[in-house]
Parts: sequence; C-alpha cells; structure tokens
Amino acid sequence: MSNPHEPDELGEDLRRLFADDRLAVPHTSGARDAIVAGAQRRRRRRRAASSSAAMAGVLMLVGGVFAIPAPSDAPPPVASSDGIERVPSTQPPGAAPDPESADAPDRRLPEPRTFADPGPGAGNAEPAPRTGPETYAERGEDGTMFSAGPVLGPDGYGRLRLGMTFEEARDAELLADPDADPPEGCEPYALAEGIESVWHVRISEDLGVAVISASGAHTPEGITTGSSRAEVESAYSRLRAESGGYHAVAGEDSHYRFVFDSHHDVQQLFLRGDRLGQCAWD
Amino acid sequence: MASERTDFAEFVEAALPGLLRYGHALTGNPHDAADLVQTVLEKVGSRWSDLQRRTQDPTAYIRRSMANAHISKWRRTRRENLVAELPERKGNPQADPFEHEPLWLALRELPPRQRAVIVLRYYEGLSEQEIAESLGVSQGTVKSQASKAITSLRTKLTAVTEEW
Repeated sequence: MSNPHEPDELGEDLRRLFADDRLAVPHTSGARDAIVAGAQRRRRRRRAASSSAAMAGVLMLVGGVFAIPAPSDAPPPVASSDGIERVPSTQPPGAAPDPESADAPDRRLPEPRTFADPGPGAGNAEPAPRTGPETYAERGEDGTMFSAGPVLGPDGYGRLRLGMTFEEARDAELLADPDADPPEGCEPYALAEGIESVWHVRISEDLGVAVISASGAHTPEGITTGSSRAEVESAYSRLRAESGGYHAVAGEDSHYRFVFDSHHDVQQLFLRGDRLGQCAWD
Repeated sequence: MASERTDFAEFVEAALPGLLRYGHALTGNPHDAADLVQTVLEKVGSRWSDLQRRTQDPTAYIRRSMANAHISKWRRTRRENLVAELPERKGNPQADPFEHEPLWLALRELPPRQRAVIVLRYYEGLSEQEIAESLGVSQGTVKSQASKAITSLRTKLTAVTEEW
C-alpha cells in the first residue's frame, strides 16, 4: 500500500484491469424493480415485527407484572431480521405501509439485456432460522422507540456464544455452510440466518468464537451501526479510545469495539472476547 | 411512501451498473456480483431514508457493505456454485471475458479477504487506514493481507509466464 516495496508495475496492472470495460455486468430490465420490491418486502416485514415489539413494550409498561401474550398474528421471528437502528414509534417519512400498488413496476429501464434476472426471492440470505431471536423495544425520553430487534449481548448473539467451538456452532446449525471446514488459525463464517444482523463471526482454532461483527444487531444499550459518537459516549461510561474508535467493556471477558466513519457515526460494531486467540491479529 | 420508493428506484437505476461492475471485481464472476448487489441493495433500500440521513455518500456505504458481505459469505457461495447451478442459468452460460487474463485468473485464486483488500485499494483507491475502517480490522491486518495478496499474485503471474 504505502509500502515502498510495493511492486508498482503490478499495481498499475491491477488498476488497468479494474478499469477495463469488460468488467461491466449487463442486467435485465427487471433488475431494478426486483431490488426495489425486495427492499419494500423487507421494510414491511421489519415494520410488522417492530410494531409488535413496540406493542409488547407498551403492554409491558401498562401491564406491569402481568404476562402479556404476544399477539397471535405476530410474525415469525425471522420477520425482525433486519435488526434495528432507530425506528421511531411514529411513522417516519417514507415509512407508511405501502399500498398493494407499491410493487407495481414503473417500466423505464432499457430493453432486456443478457444477464439473468435475479428475481424476487433470489437472495439466498432470507429463509434460514434465526440465531438471535432476542428482541425488545425501549422508549426514549422523547417518547420515540429507539431500539428493537436482535441484540448483540455481552456474551454473544442469540445462541451463538463467545468461546463456542467451531464444531458447536456448526452442530447447532448456526453457520451458513453446514459443511464448512474448521478454521485454520482464525476465519470468518457467515451465519445460517443471513447477514441482516451479523456480517460474520470469526472463529479461532484455539479459542472458538472470538469476534462477532454486527450489521443490524444492536447492543443492549441500544447502540448499532449508524449510532452517533455522542450516543456511544452516553451509553458507555468506561470507554477507551482505540484506532478509529472506542473499546467498551461488555461482559466479564468481552468488549465491544465501535469504529466510526468520517461523520462520527458507528460504521462497524464488534463484540470481541478479551482473549482473541488466533484472531488477535484481527 | 411513494417518494422514498421512487427515490430509491432512481438511485438503483443510476447506481446499478457501477455496483455490478464493482461486485464483479470483488467476487470474480457476474452471477455472484448480482447476488451480492441484490442482497446488499435490498437491505439498504429497506432503510433508505435512514441511510440518507446518516451518510452523504450512500454508494460508498454500499460498496463497503458489499466488501463485508462478500467476505462473510464466501464459503457458502463457493459451495453453491459447485453443486447447485440454478436452472435458469444453465442455458445461459456467460463466457468469462477475462478467461485469458493471467492477472484475473490469479486474482480469482486469492482468498476473499485478500481479494477485498486488493479491490478496495486498487479499484476504490482507498488508503490502508480507510480499508481497515471499512473492513473493521486493524491496519496491521490490512498490511499483512495486502502483502500476502501481492506476493501470491506475483508468484502466480511468474508461474504463468514461465509456463508460456
């Protein structure tokens, strides 16, 4: 990179290759509409899940110690798989439930091209069982619900626990690839449930699950990707500055790592064991 | 609401060619590129107004998400490609335009994380620090991954040249 020994010629060849016109991937005329419709579906499912979570939260407040059964029409746990950022209890702009016409394609894309239409539902990250079914809702001081959805807790994410061995995670059917090879050193694995809440988990050969990289999951304190630096600072009292972010004590043997983007928002959120084993070089 | 949907649709239409191209560089083949772009865009699109509030540059955010998703799913993707070709793709095998490019073939053999580092560096032009932040790893990791990748590419290219 800035290494003076970098072979410039190879660097130039790489830049040339990446600038090659043949990298273009023609797509079908329906690709855009398939993606927009897919996004709409996800949003509806999440909203349905969030509103039941919010309802449960309200009922808990109202009902005190009385156990309130979940609404019978509550969506299955997978419906909340987008995790949460801030989901205001009032409808945010652009968030109203869409009429059935929502997915009606507006045909403005050019003629069909050669690439296969991915088609609705072609994404392979959707149907797997959830790893982390814990969800909850809280109400902020201004009355908006500020967090609901999968939690990246101090010990792990759902059934996936820090320190769990590769074999335990695989046998519990938590990994995307049931036939994956065990880690050599430290390797990343996608979860069977997809990438809505967690990008991947890094498992070390010696100490098991060492790092969980959140995509949509949030900490019990309500911090998620997109949270501001100020929110992190008010949520955690014992923060230590690290390269590009903060280290916050999570559990007895774990910590969160928050990496900020140029706007001082959390771009990356990790739960890490205090002992990382062969993942230490991460 | 319709305005948000329209806005996102316009974004997708404008950004799709670039993202597919980037996905092609990242994954090494157009089918994986399309899967990756679709997965990430659907996720992003379901929170479109939220994302727009948070970032000035959604395309950069999406590209980083693609790099992370690519690293995360490589094992599964690789296996599915081996055993379960989707029926609708069987009749439409797309020739790899780079099948005679030694550098492309050498890149294809890199582990996903090394490849991601190379793409972020030479496609996106990111600095070591920016790559580290994008992938959520240390600069040391970026440095070592880049070094391994470059060494590996050089070795493979030398081997290819000698064979020819």
